[in-house]
Amino acid sequence: MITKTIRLPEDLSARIGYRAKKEDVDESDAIRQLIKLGLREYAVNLYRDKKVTLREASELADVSPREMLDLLMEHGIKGNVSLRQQQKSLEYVERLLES
Amino acid sequence: MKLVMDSDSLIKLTKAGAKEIVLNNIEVCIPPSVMNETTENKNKFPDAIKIHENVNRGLLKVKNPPNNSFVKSLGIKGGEAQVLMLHDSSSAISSDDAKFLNLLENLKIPYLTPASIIVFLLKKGAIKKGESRELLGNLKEFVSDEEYHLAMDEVENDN
Repeated sequence: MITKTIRLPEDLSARIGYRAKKEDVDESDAIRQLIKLGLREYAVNLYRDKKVTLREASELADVSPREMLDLLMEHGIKGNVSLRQQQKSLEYVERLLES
Repeated sequence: MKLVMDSDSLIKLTKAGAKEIVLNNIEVCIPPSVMNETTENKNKFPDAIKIHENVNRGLLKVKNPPNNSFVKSLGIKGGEAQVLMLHDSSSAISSDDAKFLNLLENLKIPYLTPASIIVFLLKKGAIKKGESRELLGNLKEFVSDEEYHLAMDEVENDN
């Protein structure tokens, strides 16, 4: 592990203390847990916004691609293919049938 | 038709119970990284075991991609990079990942989403309308509303 020093506002520090007490862990563990939770949320948002691929999101969230799909579904994100992309894909179906 | 499939598309088609019918009608291959991504922790996921079985039975081919310096220069990694390397002029790519599809579009590489594969199978006569509806219904919970509804419109308007 590496050591990082960060400055926290008092209210955030109090929330970390809350987590530590609630989960019966020390404050370092509480911070680590909250960062992991935050990264998962961040990965979900990036995938929803089409800014990362499933694999990139899964790496950020530190889960397998399969677990990432489950995580996305838990957040109500079924897929991120746009209308235009689906139209393009269906146009290709037509081209395949003509050839 | 030959398809190179990424993890997203393969997992979703498997979960929707559509993989077997796809593999019986379309030549599908995956690179080793997609095999790893989709069968990781396979004992926890029943559909991962099914993918393994398909590979063992030769229905799903795992192929090593040739080295491709152009793909490397794009700065992409893992499954997406290997899928691109495995693709050639006689194949298309199947993915359900908007960012990857954007890249394919920029590279002018044809692609099929999982829902479009079902439409293709219907129009090719490999499955009937009722089965297409059922498979799309199964896929509905795994794909965007746009993808599902456009595909279902195609199915309903097919004569």
